[in-house]
Formats: sequence, C-alpha cells, structure tokens
Amino acid sequence: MSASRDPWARAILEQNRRWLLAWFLAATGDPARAEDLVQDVFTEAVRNAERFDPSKSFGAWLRGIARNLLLMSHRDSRRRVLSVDPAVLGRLDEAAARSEALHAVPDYAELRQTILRECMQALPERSRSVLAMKYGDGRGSREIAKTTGLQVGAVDMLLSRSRRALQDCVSRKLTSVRHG
Amino acid sequence: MDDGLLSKYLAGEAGDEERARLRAALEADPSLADALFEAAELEADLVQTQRRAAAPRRRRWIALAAAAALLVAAAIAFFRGGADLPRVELVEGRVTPPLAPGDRLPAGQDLEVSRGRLVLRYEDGTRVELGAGTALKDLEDGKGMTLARGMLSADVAKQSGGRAMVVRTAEGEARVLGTRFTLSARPGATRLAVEKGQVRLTRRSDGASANVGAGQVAVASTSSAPAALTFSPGTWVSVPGSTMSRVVPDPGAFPNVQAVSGPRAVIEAWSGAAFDTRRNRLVLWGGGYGDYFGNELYAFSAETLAWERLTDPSPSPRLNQERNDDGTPSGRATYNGLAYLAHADRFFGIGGCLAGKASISARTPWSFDFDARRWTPGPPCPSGGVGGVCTVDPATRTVWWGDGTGLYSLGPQATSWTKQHEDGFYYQTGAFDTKRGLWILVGAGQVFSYDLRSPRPVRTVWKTSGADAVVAATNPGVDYDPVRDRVVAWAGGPVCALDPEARRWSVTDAPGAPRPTPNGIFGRWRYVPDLDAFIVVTAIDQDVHFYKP
Repeated sequence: MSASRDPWARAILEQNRRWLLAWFLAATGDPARAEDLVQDVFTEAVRNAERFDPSKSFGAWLRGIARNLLLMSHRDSRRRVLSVDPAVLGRLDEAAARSEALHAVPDYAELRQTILRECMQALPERSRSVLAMKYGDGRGSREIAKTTGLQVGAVDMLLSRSRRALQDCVSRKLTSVRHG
Repeated sequence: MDDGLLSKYLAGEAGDEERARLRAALEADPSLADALFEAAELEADLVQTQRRAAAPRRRRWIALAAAAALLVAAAIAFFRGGADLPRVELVEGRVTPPLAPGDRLPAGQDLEVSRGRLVLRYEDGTRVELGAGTALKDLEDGKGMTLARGMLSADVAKQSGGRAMVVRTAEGEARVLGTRFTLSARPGATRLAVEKGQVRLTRRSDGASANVGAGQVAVASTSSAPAALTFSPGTWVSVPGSTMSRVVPDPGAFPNVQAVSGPRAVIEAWSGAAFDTRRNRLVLWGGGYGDYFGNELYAFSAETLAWERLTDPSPSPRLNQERNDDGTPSGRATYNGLAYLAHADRFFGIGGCLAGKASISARTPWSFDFDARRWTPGPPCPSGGVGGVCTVDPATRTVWWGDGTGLYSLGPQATSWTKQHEDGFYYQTGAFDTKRGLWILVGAGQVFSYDLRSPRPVRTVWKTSGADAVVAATNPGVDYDPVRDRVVAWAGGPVCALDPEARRWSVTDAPGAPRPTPNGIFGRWRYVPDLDAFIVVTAIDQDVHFYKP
C-alpha cells in the first residue's frame, strides 16, 4: 500500500496541519492565505526532507519552515502579516508548540471536534443558525443580515458572543477531560 | 482583547485601521498572542465542523522521526493529487462493500448502493452522494471516478492548480472545477444537471461537448451530442428532437392496429400517462375506440431526455374485448385512469373506452410489470367507463377510482373494489396533495377534493378564484408541486398554481408553451421531482416540453 492510502501517514499530516493552520491564521488574519501557506510548508518539507534531523523536534522543524515562509511572504507588500515583532511570533510559536503536543495525543482532534459540537448544541438556536451560515455556507455578515433580518452590527455581535461562549465551553470541557 | 475585532481579523474582514490596532495591542503585550492563537484554532475548527460531519476516527501515535518520513511520503502523494481520496461520511441502506462512517476509501475501490444512499467527503470539503441503484467504479486518486450506473450528486469545493474532479460514464465525461451538480447514468445516456457553477460535459465517442451552467441540464447519449437546456423559474423548456413519432411502430409491420388515426391517437384520443418515479420517466398508454387499436406503451425519460417504446402492439388486436389473445389488455382510450403504483413498482390502468367501434367501457384494471414486461388483470370494477379519474395514496397504498357511477377504492390486499359514494366524476383531472392527504380534482367547471386519509372520504367543493379558464377546461393537466405546496394546472395558455390554503390561483403566462392537445392534457402533465419541473407531452409530432415553476 502506498503512503497515499496509509491512514497513519495521512493522520500525521492532518495532525500537523491543524496547528499550522491556526498559526498562520493568527499571523495573517487571512483564512485562504493561511491554507495556502500550510500547503507551502509541506511542499518545503518534502523538498528539504534530507535536511531534517530525526533527533530533533519534527514540529519545531515545521515551525521554522513556517516562519521563513511567513517572513518571505511579508516582503511582498500585497501580502500582509499582522506583526513581525520577534516577541509576538515567539509567543505564537509557543502556543503552536503546546497545540502540537496536544494533537500528538491519540484521538485529541476528534475529542476537540466532539466537544465543539456539544458546545454548539448548548448555544441558542439563533446562534447556531448564524454560525452555520457563517462557517458552513461561507456567508459574510451582510448576507447573513439579509437572510435573518438582523442588522449587520447585530450579526457581528451575535457571532462574536457565540465564539466567545464556544471558546469558554471548549476550554472548560477540555480541561475537565484532561483532569478527569 | 476586543472579541469583535479578533473575530473580524480572523475572518479576513478587518480593515487597515483595525489591523493596526490589533498589532499595536499585541506588540505592547505579546502574551495576547496566546488568546489570538486560541481564537484562530477555534476558527479553524468551526470551519471544519460546519463544513462536514466529522466521524470518529482513531489516530495512532508514531515516533516523530517515523512521522517525518511518513509525512514526506504522504505530502508527496498529497500534492501530486495521489492522496485526494474520500472517506465515508454517511451510510444509509445497503452498500457493497459494507462501509461505516469514517472509513477512508482506497484508490481502485468499487462501490455499489443497492438501497438508500452513501455520502463521501474529501479533505477539501467536496461532498459526493450516491443514490439507490448506483454503481461507482474505480475510485481514483485526485477526485476521479467512473459512474457505471445510477445517480451521483456532488458539491465540489473550488479545485486549485488546474486540477479538476472528473466523473466518467459510458457516454460522457464531466469535468468539474468547483460546483454543485447531479450526474445520472442510464444505458445509452448520461444526464448532467448543474445547480451552481459550471461543468463541461463531453461525449466520449466523438468529443462533442457543452458547458453546462447553473440551472441548466444536458444529456450526452449515443443519439445526441450534449446541448445545455436552461431551466429558469417561470419558463418553458422545449427538448429539441424529442418528438414521440420517432419511436412509433412501423405501420407496415403492424397493419392491423392502425385504424383511423394511427399512433397519433395514443395522445390525441382522450388518453393520458403516469409518471414512473423509480425510473424517472413519463409512461403513456392510449388510443382505443375507432382511432387506434395498438396497446403498446411508450416512455419519455427525464434522465435521457429521449423516448423509448416499451412494448410492441399486439399484432392481431381483439376489438370490443377486454383482452387480446396474447393475454395483454386490448388498446383503449385511457382518459385519467392511469397511475404509477410506487409501492408495487407497477404501471396501472383502469376504465376507458376499448378499441373497436362499439364504445364499450373497459371494466378490468390492468397492471404492467416493467421488469417482467408482463400485464396482469386485476379485480374488475363494478363500473369502469369513460371520463373517469384515478389516483393512488402512497401512504395507504390504496387505489381510488371515480367515474360516472361513483367513487371506488381498492386496498393493497383487497380482492374487490369498495364503493364509497355515489358521487359522479366526468372530465376532471386529479392531483394528490401529499402534504394534506387530499385528492384535489379540477376540470369541467369544478374544483373539489376528498380527504383520502379520513375513514370515509366526503367530497368538498372548493370555491376558487383567479383561473376560471383552466377550471372550465375539460381534462386539464393537473399535478401537485410538493416543493411549493401548489396544485399546478395547465390546459394551454398560462400555467395556473392553486394555493390549497388560500384557495386562490396565481397565473404565469410564460412564452414558449406548446400547443395543447385538443381533447385534453390528462395525465401527460406531471411533476418531475428530479428536475423540480413539470413535463408535458401534447402530440406525437411536437417536442416534449418542461415547465419550471
């Protein structure tokens, strides 16, 4: 069986893709570009596979590639990066390293998704509906406002509160699982 | 950190000034990057959770050194398109091989859905649904597959790098860069219906192709090159080259059935049709009296947009008799006595006027088994006759028949008809309102209904407004549109839609309507669920039309 059909290989790919995506999204604030940059990281990893030292951290190696790509991308004035301040990027690296460690735990990604779905179920119907329009259908706030009859500001507010509620709920439940 | 600002930033919607504010806050306090990263993780999870129903899947921890090697191999395959294979999202019914949600499918996999449906999901969110009776062969790396038969619907994420999803059938090839579409493969033809985006459909035999856009349908078949038909709401669509005359029997081979009019009477001599929802086709049976003595069946497929003559006429028809010597029913004018019994997968006919010149009413109902290609007589109805109308309630599997002498019912296990009322029926066409269980009849100046779910249905006369012409027409085309909850009628001229709650008709006078059949439309106007449109056949030398409500 080739690696392309090997579920373990794909799982490893997926496991690292998640935290890398969050890292790039935090650094750029551009979801589409973040996806592209994650793919670029893997392409670079393939190209430079012989340079990887198996005695070192694989995630740290990927983060190094990611940071280089981000800084190269920043040189292109059309492609903005939020901040190239070393302290900010360093802090993001640390957060990504923690996430990478969690994603190496068996079933962590599934657990996180399950908890997120449970937390969504606990939200009011209107919040769930607006989140589905936003993330499921990819609609913007204006379009959601048209569909729901809400003001654009009210949609933004609802989204913001829903995300905050979800984040609190997910953190709480993950913590209780880890300690439970 | 300002939640609203963070949300806008992560959604890619923050302006320069807002980004500058966020940057300033972060650089003043880099620990805020923790919250930014957490919010970004949630954002990515939300997209994933909402885009697909994640199924539980076990992961295994592997030493990082080994992971690097695996990752590199996987990444090579991934970026070459080799790892672009789906996993199972949903299994309903019977699928071969047996699969469970979360299963990842390998290249070369064959799939068969006997009952129910199977939903597959790719990593990029592309969703592929296979319906009942579908066989998919040779799943390929990089979103390639062969649809051997059946129906495939797909919602394809935008494909990057010039790669396309490719679905092949015996006749055609659909190449997709990001869209929502349904592809159906039947013997001899492949039909493509596009809901969003654009798909290129190519006939494999000669490379003839058509770009099919949103709201369009095209067929690649052995007999016709792909051409896109546009189904826009409130418009008529004529199917080019779709006259029934192409498939009528050779008069030289069947001289004894021709009578006065020949097979044009299958439509023109007070005859109808029923819609076979399993095979997605309109089935016609008609003729009779002195007009035409043939008893053959015809079908126009909404899949292939082509006609097929399902049976040959009995070459030596018995006139003024219920049955031919070969055991088939004699030819007849079928009026509104035709239905498709979905629960039994049978075409059903009752009443009408027998072939011959004696104006004899048919009393024996007949059903036709499409697979066995065999007719079977049913229990005779006490009455029968011309101008009657029938329907079947899919919930109770009961057939209802109304003629000049009363209303009769035949349950699924019943061996005889039960007379329910003395109510008379003449020249109405009925629509079964599946939402309310109402049989709503229109025509000859009346609108009335029966609640077929009540213990003893009683006629309720409706006072409606807004479409006097179609109500006054004899044997108009009438059927129920379950999507819009309307009874939609046409008898030539504008299309009329009746709101069953308000009992008001609305009228749409769209250009391009066909010439109506002089003696009535009967059941040749039917709702086609698959296309969300009405089909109508009005003459053997006129193209088939669809009306998109």
